[in-house]
Amino acid sequence: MTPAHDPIDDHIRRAFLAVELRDEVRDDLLRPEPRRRGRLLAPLLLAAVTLLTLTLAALPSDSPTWNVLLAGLRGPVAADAIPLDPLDRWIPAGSAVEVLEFGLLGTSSLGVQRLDQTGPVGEIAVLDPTGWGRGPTGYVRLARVDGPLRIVAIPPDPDRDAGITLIDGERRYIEYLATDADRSLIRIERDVLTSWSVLPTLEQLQQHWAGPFTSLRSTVEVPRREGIRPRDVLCPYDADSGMPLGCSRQSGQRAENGIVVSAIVDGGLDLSGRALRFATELPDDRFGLSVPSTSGAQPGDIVQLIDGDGLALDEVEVVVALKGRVRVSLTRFDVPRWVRVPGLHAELVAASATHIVDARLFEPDVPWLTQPPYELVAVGTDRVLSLGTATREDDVDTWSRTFSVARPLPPGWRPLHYRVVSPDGDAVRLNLITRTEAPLGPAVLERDGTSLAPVEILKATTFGTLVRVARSDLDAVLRADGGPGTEIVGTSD
Amino acid sequence: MDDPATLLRRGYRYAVALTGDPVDAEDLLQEGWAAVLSAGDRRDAPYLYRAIRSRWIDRYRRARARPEVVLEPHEQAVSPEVDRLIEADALWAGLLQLPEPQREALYLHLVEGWTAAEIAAQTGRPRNTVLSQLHRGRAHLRDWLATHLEEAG
Repeated sequence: MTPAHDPIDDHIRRAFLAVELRDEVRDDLLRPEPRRRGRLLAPLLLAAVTLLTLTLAALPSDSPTWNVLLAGLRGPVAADAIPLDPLDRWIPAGSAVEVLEFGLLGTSSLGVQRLDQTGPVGEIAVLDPTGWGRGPTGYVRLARVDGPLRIVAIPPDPDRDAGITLIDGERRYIEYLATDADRSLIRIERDVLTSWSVLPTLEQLQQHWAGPFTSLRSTVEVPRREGIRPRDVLCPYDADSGMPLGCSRQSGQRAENGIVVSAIVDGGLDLSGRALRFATELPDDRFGLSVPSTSGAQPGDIVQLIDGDGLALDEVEVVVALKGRVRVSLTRFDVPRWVRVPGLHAELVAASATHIVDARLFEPDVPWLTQPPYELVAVGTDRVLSLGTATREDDVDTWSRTFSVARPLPPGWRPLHYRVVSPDGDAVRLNLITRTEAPLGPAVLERDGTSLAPVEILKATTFGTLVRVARSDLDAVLRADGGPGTEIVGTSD
Repeated sequence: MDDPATLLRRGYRYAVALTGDPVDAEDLLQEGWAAVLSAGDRRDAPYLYRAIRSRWIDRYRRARARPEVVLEPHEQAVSPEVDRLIEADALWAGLLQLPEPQREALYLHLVEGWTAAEIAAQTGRPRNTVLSQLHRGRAHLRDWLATHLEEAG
């Protein structure tokens, strides 16, 4: 029974209440979200544009009114303008675009999840034409390559004068196409864009990312705008060759204008004179590389996975997407990729000469299976292999549990991670990291809408789902669990 | 329902209780807040706390999967952010020694006024475990405070 009043409680309560969120962080988070406002404004804007279009269409093509309006819309660059569909004024999905600037951290509310390159690119995934813009911590600026001109949509940025204030005060290069509370769409000549005063040049942007390191242990201040945060896992790689140089945790020191990064690269590679760039760990159990996106690889490609230490692991299937369904490939570090972090559920602690395998698993994966027998399963890229009955060892720490088995792994075969299951007749019980809001009872594990295996939901929380699944379906279930597009869909009425 | 600024303040304190690090807490709050925004009208503390906690666990999973590399000496020092925490209240030096589950339970119980059963529902731990964590956390801090006061003369 909790005492009615314990003097220590007052001390503890006072300590917690002494913690205050910094004003600038609070204000940044409370800044109106463009997408939500855009949702409200978009129908109004659409209605206005449609009304204008219908009005113009009703006019005779040679009427004075039409000519005046057309001249007004085209402006001084009308001769070179590319006719635009009034309903296609925002950059649509799949457009050929040029990334002018980015500093966007992944958030689920943005249309463009992350852009890893500035400069010319082919088609990129602009997922939601109304949803792009400024996020809680970043921004992105795109130009659509459109013949001799570029269409630039500009999210307002209170920290930079990103309005339509242009070089040399020569407004004749700019044409407003539309504007609302969140952004303006303009048409601008290509040559002008490259020297636009509010946009840094590509060379300037590169300097933020790449700098000559002079030793294996080097410190550099990465500007805050690059989105690297304290304790991010950084994986330096050669900016020119794309060669991975290992991974390291960075120091957690915030500086006035960014973060001081201290990269210690394991592997003994000399970084002197190299231009470096960094990969950073991202939400959703994946990490991303800020690299040129010129690959034509397709989802489902089998590629070589390099883990956080720069070690080559088994070949794996490319994960198609983070939340943003960005097309990725994975052949070297010179192409963008979003991959699952290997060893998500366990790490290989030791592999002795007697082939004893210990696997440490994360706590929430285990408590629901607190009663033995346990069975350890190794999940590789080519197969799922049962290692037989597992013995639970002493708890390693608050969060982890250790299991051991005596069955050896096949020579040369290294699993990506381990899972613990509990035999249950012809089925097994196991904890999936895939979450569900489906009711307890029969359900189906699906991936991208395709049914993979029937499951029975035994328990569901925000941290995972305890299910019963036929042993014959275990392979398919474990391969899909936690991956993009994987869902547990209820089938009970 | 709290206004957004109050909700953010509460969420930040919870994130600090979880992480023991103001910088990590800011990042977690930001990610949790993004989840709250995308969830429409569910702008309440329990939802924000679940979002923050879920992301904290995701981070822990990733950290388990990635071995740490020894950093340069200056990085081992206590960060200014943690110093700021201790400056806010000296008891934080003791709070930071607690395992995360104990610190989290103490925050939810003593600041938010949640019962052990409510904390159990939030964290997925058995109620008796929560009670034990509250007891152990209090005991540790009581000892720490006594030692601290003794050292302070």
